[in-house]
Amino acid sequence: MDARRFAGTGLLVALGSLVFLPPALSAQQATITGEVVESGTRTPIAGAQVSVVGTGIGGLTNNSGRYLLTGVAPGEVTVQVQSIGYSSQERVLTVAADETAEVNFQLRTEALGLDELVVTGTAGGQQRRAIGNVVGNIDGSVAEVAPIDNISNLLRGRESGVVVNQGNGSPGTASVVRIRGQSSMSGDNQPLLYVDGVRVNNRMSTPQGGSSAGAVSRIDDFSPDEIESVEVIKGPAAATLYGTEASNGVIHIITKRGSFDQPAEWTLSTRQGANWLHDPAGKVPINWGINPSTGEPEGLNLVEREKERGNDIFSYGRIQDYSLSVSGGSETMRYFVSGSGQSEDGATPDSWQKRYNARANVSAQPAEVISIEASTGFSLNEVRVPGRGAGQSALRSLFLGSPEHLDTPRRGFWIAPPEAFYERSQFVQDATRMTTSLTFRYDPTDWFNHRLTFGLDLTDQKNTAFTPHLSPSAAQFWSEQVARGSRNVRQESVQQSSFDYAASVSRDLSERVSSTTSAGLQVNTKRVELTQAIGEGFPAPGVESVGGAATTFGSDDVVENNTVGLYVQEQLGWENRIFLTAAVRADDNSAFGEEFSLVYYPKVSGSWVISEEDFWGLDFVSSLRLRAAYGESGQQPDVFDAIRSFSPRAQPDGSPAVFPDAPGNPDLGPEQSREIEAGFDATMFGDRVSLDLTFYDQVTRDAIVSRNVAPSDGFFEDQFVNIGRLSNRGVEVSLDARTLDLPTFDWDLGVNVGTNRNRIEDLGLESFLELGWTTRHQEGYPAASLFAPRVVSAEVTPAGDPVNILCDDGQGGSMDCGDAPWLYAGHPDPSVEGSVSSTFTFGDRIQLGMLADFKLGQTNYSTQMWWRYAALGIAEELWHPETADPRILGAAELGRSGEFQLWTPASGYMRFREVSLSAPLPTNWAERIGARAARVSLAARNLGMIWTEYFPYPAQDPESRAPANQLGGNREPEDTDATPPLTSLALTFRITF
Amino acid sequence: MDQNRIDDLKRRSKNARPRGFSRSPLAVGVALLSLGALAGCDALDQLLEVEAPSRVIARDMEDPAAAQLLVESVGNEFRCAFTHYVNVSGLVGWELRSVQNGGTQVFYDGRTWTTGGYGSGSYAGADCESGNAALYLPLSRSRWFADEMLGRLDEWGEAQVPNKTELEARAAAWAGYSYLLMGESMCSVAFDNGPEQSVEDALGLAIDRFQRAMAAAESSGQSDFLNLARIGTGRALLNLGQVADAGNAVADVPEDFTFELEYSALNDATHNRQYRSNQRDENVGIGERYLDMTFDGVPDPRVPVTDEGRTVAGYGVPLWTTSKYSSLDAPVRLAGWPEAALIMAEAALADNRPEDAVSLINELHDRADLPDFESSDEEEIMDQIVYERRAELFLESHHLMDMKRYDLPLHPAPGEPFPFGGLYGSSTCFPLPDTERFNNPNLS
Repeated sequence: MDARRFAGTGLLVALGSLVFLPPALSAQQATITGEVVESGTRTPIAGAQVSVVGTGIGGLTNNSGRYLLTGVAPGEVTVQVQSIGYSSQERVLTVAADETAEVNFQLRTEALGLDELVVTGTAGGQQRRAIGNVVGNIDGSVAEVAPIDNISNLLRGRESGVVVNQGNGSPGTASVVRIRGQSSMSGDNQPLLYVDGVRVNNRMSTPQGGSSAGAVSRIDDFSPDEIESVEVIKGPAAATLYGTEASNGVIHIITKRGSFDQPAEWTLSTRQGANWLHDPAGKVPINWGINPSTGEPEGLNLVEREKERGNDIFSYGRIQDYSLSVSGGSETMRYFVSGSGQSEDGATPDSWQKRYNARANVSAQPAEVISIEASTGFSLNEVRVPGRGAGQSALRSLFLGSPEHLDTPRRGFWIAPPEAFYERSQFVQDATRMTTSLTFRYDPTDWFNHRLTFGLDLTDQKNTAFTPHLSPSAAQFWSEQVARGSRNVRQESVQQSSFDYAASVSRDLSERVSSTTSAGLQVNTKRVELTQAIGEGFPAPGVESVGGAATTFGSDDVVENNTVGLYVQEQLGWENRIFLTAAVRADDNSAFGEEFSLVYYPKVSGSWVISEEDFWGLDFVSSLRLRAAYGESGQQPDVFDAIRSFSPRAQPDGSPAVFPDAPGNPDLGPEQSREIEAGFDATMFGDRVSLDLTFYDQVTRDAIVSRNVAPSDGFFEDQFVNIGRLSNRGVEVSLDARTLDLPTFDWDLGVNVGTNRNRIEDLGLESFLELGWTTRHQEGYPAASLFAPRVVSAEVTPAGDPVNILCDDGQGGSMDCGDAPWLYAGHPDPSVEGSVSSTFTFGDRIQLGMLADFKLGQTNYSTQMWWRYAALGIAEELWHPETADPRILGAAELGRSGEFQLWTPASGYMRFREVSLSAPLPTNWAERIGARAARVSLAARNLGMIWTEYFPYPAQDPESRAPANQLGGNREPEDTDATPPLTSLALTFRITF
Repeated sequence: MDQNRIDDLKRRSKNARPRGFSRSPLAVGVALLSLGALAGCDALDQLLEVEAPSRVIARDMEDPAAAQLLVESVGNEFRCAFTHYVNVSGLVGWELRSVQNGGTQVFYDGRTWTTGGYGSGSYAGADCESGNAALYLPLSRSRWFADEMLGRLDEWGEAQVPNKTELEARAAAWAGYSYLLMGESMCSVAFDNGPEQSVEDALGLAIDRFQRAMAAAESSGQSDFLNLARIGTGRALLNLGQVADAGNAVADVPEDFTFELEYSALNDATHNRQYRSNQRDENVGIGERYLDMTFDGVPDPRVPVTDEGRTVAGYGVPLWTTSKYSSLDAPVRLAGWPEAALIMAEAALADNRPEDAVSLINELHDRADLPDFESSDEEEIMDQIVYERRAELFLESHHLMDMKRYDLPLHPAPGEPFPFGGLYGSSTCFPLPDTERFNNPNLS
């Protein structure tokens, strides 16, 4: 199926809907009117029930949070507002005949939201009070104010235990998202992604293999403008019903749907701003070498040198974002239709993103017992990322420049000046996507409900690596082969389909005991069609297609993976405050080995709202829920890992041949993760403080280890075997407090902290598993830890040469570095991560929000340092050995043939991530342009580093780490070619009609 | 194996269900979940059937009808292993040198590899498609694959494989050369998950396979593989120090014999790696001792090199190229009469027949339009044989072993500064890599 064709049609449909939907209905006369907003973000609350107590007069707020009550008798009345998820409020006022009184409400989020429905995989969802595990919820409306341009940034810092690491500052590049650490040694540890109940593509891929510095994640295809909320199901204890593939957690995106009985409301917003690299001269090292024109050694800062020449390497990149949406509904249907376009330029010409989104969601309730929900989203996401590696990366050439190259066409850059790379390294990913879901619910009685969901997610992703027939000015830096140009196009069409049936039966077993029995069946299929075309050597400038190249290659492939799963769950409730849940799920997957049958994932959980017990006597604790859960889920092996196979390989004349390739493993099954989770949710001091605390202890048994096979045995692609055991343990704390609550000033403070202790309990091998230059899976250490010899002493001769270089022998002594053991140097994921946020509200209107996030206990692999010290000898210490630490000189001397701990710096940091200032425009201003309301926001991102430990030696940024590396493979948190995070500032206007 | 056969095999693999062909039905789980009716139906089971069109299921290859395809495939694997080996041995044996940092050519050139798969040089990790020069994986695969085919051919009868003897000659020759090159380059060896063995054992196994190849080639009338196996035998015996036997082994090789391996620009695994590394990718240049090869003042045409007059951007080592291999399609000689002649010359010298050795050298000079070599001094003649082997067999995989066999001083010497940092090392053989040592149950 051609996703691009669907996308084009979808855009037309969505935009057409915007044009032809009916205009806003006229307002009616009223005696009491006003606005209901969320007290923290000041975003309108739609669908809130507003009523005059004791009169039967009432109504719902519209999408702007406005309400209108008419026919109210004069005198003193009490107006009450109720909305699920928020604390209710009442106001007493006196109204006079023929007057219109305005009463505004600011509702606080009900701290625990015990009666909220949470999507858990069952037919009707479950009340939060009944769930024995924590389920995170992120309100999509924060993106209306905060500097958030994609889903990854929406997740970052907002949920404890969720680690988001972008790794590359180029617009549109992916973030690595990990929930509660690494639960797999062989998989990519990415969470499972759902959109409106449908499992969708969450692949992360580079625009072209290992030559491009940034990856693009499919989670970022979705626009934050269309997101109602994001639920985060964190671990196996919570994700059991999602089965195989869910052990890394589940992220469930719920899109906006409009409200019943609401007139159409149009929202137009635009965001304008800029990206830039803060303090570029301070982010590049000063490299040393001999200046050919003087014959003397000198230090060179290429950013400054180029600036003197009138050439700014880094510039301001423009941010533009436009969106238009309409939502509303009648008594039996509701809708949300939106379209948006976003364009972001990076700080260099080789980084930008353009994304277009359209969505049409329609829900209908033709009868009280039947509802139908249809959602369709389209996206066109085009991203250009910089190149990677010595021959492709302008950034590397900048970081490794030297005065030795000053009097050459390279102008001091290592391989070539930036403009030559911009011409040569053109890596673009162009993804077209359609995600659609259709859900039928039928609740024939009040004790039985069931639903059926069909979903389809089609992604057509074109990755292009293009080098044109280079101009002479660029061609001089590369071989003739490169200069003639090439085009490599890899097309990936990913089709995922979902079939999900779930049913629940609820009944009261007695006056006190209730029972809900649920069962379900899911079928998920995934098919990836790969087509690649490569052309090398264009005859002349202007010829740019594969077909025009002198040499062409092509290939195609198909990869499929299907899962069938069933579950049954029983939940018992005691007086709606004690709940016990037990469930089991069984899965079969096409990637399991032929000797492996079904996998079963059990679950049991309990929840006790102890504060509702009669004996509860702690008045300062308004509500307290204790919860505990045990559950399992899994991760299937990769598609072909179980198969012993040969692979085709052509002979030079094109005739067919094969070679022994994968040893296979007929016993291969899924990784099975089990988790114990326990904690509590509490609100205190009149709901002004809420505190969640969760402890988790997770073990992945039967972890799949990609075991090396002895090459002497022929089939020596790694063999995947269920022999490992991996643990994650940690504590998550979330604190929200209304620190100050004054008539004209509020201060809300939020703190999220998550810890993670990851450890390979059993690798199943006698030795370690080498993943990359420095990374290993080694028993007793976190997965993918960094290892290197450690230089402990060296002497420097009068000539400046290091001698007698000794390394740590691992037993408290020292020894020759050539035979020294590689010692643990750290791990790539943080041990502690979290965020601190503050929201200051001035008066009723103006709001200042800030968020800082931090990561502690993580280590980078600084290939930049390796190149500067060991490979090229351009670091300042090497030119002034008399002032240098002899160990550095020793490591630099030996480092070419081995790694040293000097290149693995600790990279903890705390960064000022988000700042936003927003205020509604006066109503009369909005009314002048015919709008109901308007809001303006000024938001900045990545304003500055508050603290970092990444400064043992000059290096660019602790967040610069190639995300592609962390997906599997060598997992090296490498810093050389990744653009540091860009600072951005943007002004947003949001107008509601 | 014709195209129809491979198409048929692919069709079968496409329709195959990768996870296997017999497995427990879903009924077990269904009973547990009380959803038997739904789960038990064939439709659900069929949902787990998936395509695998790019994989050839191993059991489909256990068919005598695949014999031709498989033996051709063995040759294809050796072809790849050989061109990689020429680069590795050329870098260690100073025919080549690294002209830029960042690739594993640096470790070969600097003689500083260790047994790991990544940061210590990837003689253990790189494979046919790799941009880096590969050693252990492709050689191990071609050796195992060749021996595997010899075993299968033993099991399959003539009726099942009509050209069985012809295929046997080929598989045995590829097996012999795979053992031979491992014997020349490794410090010790292990085969088929077996115990550690000496390189002499490897060379002995090479001779064993060459003898089988010769017998089968004679029987099937394949003179090219017969002479290839003769020269392979001579080379192995020479390495074992059995010079006279080596001379005898190659005595019957005709003067017009040459056996080349074909390459093409088709894909990474079919490239001529000498051209690719030296001229296309510019990772390696020609070693300093090969920049001015002359005999009696006459430039030696067998080592055609050119000073490109530049360095690779970012590095300081002058780039020299050779026109011996001028494209990705250029064939590489695996064996030929000149090699046989030099083996015979060495044998003649050892047998106190220096005039025969000189005569053989001059036959090579005639072919290269070089002046005659004249000497009766055995030491001079031996030096000339060493020179002739350097020139005649330039970038054909020989100099690493010659360096060890003749105990030639390493160039540059160990301890000299290496252009990319550190010092030159002294390693000239490759230990069993960690991937073998840690995963072979018979190795400690």
